[in-house]
Order: sequence, then structure tokens, then C-alpha cells
Amino acid sequence: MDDRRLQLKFYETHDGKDVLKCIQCGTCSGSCPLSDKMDYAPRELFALIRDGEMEAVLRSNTQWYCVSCYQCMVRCPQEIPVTDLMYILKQMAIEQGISPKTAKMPDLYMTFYREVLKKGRLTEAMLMIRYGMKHPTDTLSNAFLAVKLLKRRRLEIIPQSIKEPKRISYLKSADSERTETK
Amino acid sequence: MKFALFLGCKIPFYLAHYESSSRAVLKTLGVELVDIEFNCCGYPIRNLDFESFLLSAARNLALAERQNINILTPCKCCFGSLKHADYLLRENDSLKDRINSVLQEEGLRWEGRVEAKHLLSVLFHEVGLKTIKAHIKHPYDGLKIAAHYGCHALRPGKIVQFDNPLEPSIFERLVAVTGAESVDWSMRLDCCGNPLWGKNNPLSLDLMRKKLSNASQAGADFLCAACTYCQIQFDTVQEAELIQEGKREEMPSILYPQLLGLAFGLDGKALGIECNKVDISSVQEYLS
Repeated sequence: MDDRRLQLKFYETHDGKDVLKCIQCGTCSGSCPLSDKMDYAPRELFALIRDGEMEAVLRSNTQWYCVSCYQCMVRCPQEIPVTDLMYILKQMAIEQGISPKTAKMPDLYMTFYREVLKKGRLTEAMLMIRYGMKHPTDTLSNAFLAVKLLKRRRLEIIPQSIKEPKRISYLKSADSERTETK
Repeated sequence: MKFALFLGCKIPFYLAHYESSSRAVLKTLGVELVDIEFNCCGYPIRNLDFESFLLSAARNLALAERQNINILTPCKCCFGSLKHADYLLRENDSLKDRINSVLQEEGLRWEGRVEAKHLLSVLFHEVGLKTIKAHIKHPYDGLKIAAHYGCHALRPGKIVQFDNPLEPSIFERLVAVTGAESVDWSMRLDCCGNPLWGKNNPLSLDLMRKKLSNASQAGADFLCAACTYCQIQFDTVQEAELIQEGKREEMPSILYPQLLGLAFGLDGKALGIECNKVDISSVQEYLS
């Protein structure tokens, strides 16, 4: 999808058009605990969206570094739902199969998503197994923690499901349209 | 007073003592809890699909609505997620219709008749400081607490309506009623770092380390949390990554119902005092 079509797609999402209200004051970037680590701080990211540089936007690490603390959102003089826009950008990046340099994050979120789809809730052991297949070194580095948690009976091994996980089956239709990140 | 207890996915695995201490404290205060088989609050899938997040949250609200009972959750991220869904569905009729058409398949419906409340809001607004105070048998003496608010309870204020998002006070007042003193620390409203845990550990640890140092500089003996994710960060992650690695001195984090329960004179076992990874047993020395 080209930049222009991606921009239109962004504007069509819930809250997407709010980015047009941005006055480029930078309060969001100033409130953000991680803006100095981001490829583009939120203010810059919004300028790029409006300029139609969507590929650069979707490839950036900005939305993936958002901790959703909402500090920007309560301070924005234009009441732009900054954090919600970050969620949209993450969704779009995954949909388009565009992953940032830190490609682990989409995989982790995808693992959460599949697990909720299947069981209606998250089960830690299954998360570790599924995510671990994609990032084995991460799993190994967490193995010691898992053992310690087990000792204190703070890790559940047998996956639990809600009684009727298919009740969340609505999620499936959304899932089938989605491509894996590359 | 009766609520449906919404634990979320993480408490049963990681913080069973958050559940047991919340139950113990609420029982003492005469708050009755009902168990409903809820599903995920929707927060973890918000990164992937907006309507799936909304449906997941709305289904929980609809389950409670079917029994005409408000939700009480000890997790601030679950709280934020449920409040967000509630707000969005109220605001947008076409979203509401779409979600209800799915819920309808199992005879559920969201009409917005029940509310999701956080444990702290229930204690502060519904139970009230006066009632809580009447149950305090052993007030703390000389204990200094850094109350950590948690982002998703506070912000966005318009949606969650927990307290003033820029100058909140209910957590400090809930701490004060136990006899402990709340320290004034500048980073009390900041992120704990957990949202990045497992995704970018150095950044996640960096956010936590700054907060821990800020709390100890302010003279706090303990952090106090009332959120699943924040407590996992300040307890499990702090112990494994900072203390074991010898990177800093420990700043133990106690869950609010543990703090309150000890002052009520409840058994430390029921409150899971020994379940915290960073030892909090020394808090009992401050009890009078």
C-alpha cells in the first residue's frame, strides 16, 4: 500500500483524524518518559503522518516504545488522544507486515492475541512456549525466573481456558485477515 | 455492598497473594464478592485490533450487567481497559450496535448499566475512610510509604474518573488512614516500566530504577502499589534483575491490601506476606 493510501486508512480509523488538530507544541514529546529513545518523538511523528510519510512512520520504533502511560494525553492542549493513536499505528504496522527494528514486540503482542483467541485469557506457560519458538534466546534468559516462580508456586503450568473460549470467536475473523510481520 | 471480582489474567498466576489479601481486607470491611467467569480485559490485544479489544472488555461488562452487579478489579490495567470500553461504547452508537450484535449470539448485551471500579476507589468512595479507620487495630508508627499510583487508573482522567489525573490524593489518604506516612516524591505518577518488560528490558529497567531511586531519596521505607503490572515490576522484576544482579539496594513493594490487612490485625499468611519476592516482613516491625 502506498503512503497516500496508508494515510487515508489512518484518517479513517477511530480517532485517526484527530492528528489534524495537532498544533506542534511538543507537549506530548516533553511529557513522554521515552521520547529521547524514539526514532521520532510524538510531535515529529504527527508531522510525518500529516506529510504522508507513512512508511517511515510505520517503520519507526516510536509506537512500540509507547508505554501507554497517557502522560501526553492528559496534557495535550488540543485533547488529541495521543496514546490511542499509537495503538492504531501498531495495529497498522502489523497489518501491513511492516516491522520496526525492534521486531520482537509485534511477535509478543501476536502471541498474546492468539492465546486470548484460543482460550479466552492468557496463560503464562503457553505464552512462553509460543513466543519462545520465535525467540529462543529470550526464553532461555527467562528460564531461571520461571524456576524461581515455580518454587513459590507463582507460575501456572497447566493452561487454563475459560469454559467457552469460542465466545471470543469474533476475534478470529480479524485474525485471518492479518499477515505475519516480516 | 456487593461486587463481582475481576482478577484479570495475571493475578492468578503471578500474584495470588494480591487476590487473597484483597479478599481478606474486603471481607473484614463487609464487602461481598461474587465470582463470575470473566475473560481477558482486552488490554493486551489493544495493540492488534481495536474492535477485538472492545469486544473482549465489553463482554466482561455485559456478564456483570446480566447479574446486575458492579465490577471491582484490583488491577489498574484491567480497570483502565474496562473504563475505556465503557466510554467508547457510550460515545459511539454504531460501535455499540456492532459489539452488541456479537454479544447477542450468547444472549448478552451491553447497555452501560454497571460500572467497573478499582479496589482503591471502592475503599475510598464506597467503604469510606471512616469505616476503614474503625477497623484499624494496629496503626503503623513511623513507617514511610511511597504510594505509586499506576498510569491506567489515573489517566486519561476524562475516561477513568479515578481521581484528579495531575494532582491525585486518594492513595495517600488511604495510606494515611493506616497510620503510615506518605512521602512526597516527584515521580509518583510516572510509569513503572512494566509495559516494556520482555520487549525492551534495558529501557524497562531504566524506568523502574529511576522511580526506585526517587522513592528512596524521598525517604520511603516501602513502595506501595495497587496494580498487578506495577507490582510484578517492583517485586518480581526488581528482585530478579536489580537485586540478584547486585545493581541496587532493595526498595520493597507492598500491595495496598497487604498494608491495610496487617493494620487490621489480619494473619500475615492470609495476606501472603511471605509471597513477595523482595522481603516485606520487616513492615510488621512498624505496627503498634
